[in-house]
Amino acid sequence: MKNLSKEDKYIQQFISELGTDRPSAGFHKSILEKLNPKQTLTVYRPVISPLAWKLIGSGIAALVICVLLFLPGGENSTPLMDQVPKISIPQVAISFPKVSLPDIDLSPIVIQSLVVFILLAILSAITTLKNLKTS
Amino acid sequence: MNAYGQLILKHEKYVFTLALRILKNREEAEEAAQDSFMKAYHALRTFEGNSKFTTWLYKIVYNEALGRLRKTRNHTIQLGEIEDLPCDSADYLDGLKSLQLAERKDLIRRGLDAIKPMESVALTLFYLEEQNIKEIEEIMGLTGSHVKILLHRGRKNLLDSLRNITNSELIHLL
Repeated sequence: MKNLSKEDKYIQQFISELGTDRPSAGFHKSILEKLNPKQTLTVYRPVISPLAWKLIGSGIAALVICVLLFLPGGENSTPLMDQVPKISIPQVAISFPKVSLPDIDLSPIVIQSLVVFILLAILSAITTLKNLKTS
Repeated sequence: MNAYGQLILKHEKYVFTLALRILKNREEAEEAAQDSFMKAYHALRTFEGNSKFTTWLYKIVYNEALGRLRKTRNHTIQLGEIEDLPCDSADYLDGLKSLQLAERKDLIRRGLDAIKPMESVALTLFYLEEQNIKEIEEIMGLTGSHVKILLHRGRKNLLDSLRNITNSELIHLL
């Protein structure tokens, strides 16, 4: 029994010397994170902004109105464009230096597509600028 | 939440050590300790204060780690006959005392790893946490006599495993 008490003392000393083990560095934080998960707010941000939609809509509307107004409806009707009274614009005589520029003959479809392309380019430039400002 | 964070910081080492003594694997022990703290947080309202907070917390850790151990290994508690400790134990322990602290710590760690988880836990609770038999009974869900048997067997098996480790190292040196 005497031996046992001595052993008891030794074992107590050795186990106390060994002490406790330390968990990894993030132990405490990971428990708190699990207990209180951060709520991630997902804000919906459309790819095309409302302003861009308005511009596209107004562009399309303007195109439709132009087509309706300026194209002839039938054989006998005259396009609205022709009904506009011709305004005599006073000619201003300015003598420019004669530069021989090549005549570019573009078909109406090419001109229309160029206009639409320019409009879309302006739109994308506006949205990019807006995104840059917000970020 | 901040108060509970402080509570975790205060008890994390003991909780982790207890889980490690049962599972004998750092990753598993860390997971068990984390789950225990989470369970304790959700069950804080059920803590009536009849026992010490540490006793209540260690009971959660013990059950969590034991549950994990049962899932992975076929683990049963065996309480057989008690053999008396060999007479030269004190001499051997005297020898251990003469070792360098770092060597001794390493040896004790390996010795505790070599014995059964239940014995290792009982020894840790009794000697390191200085819990009394009554509290160990509550934590482990055993009777007083079972706890005493576990402690006795733990001491004996720890000494045996320490002897085996030192003998095998001596053989390697020779």
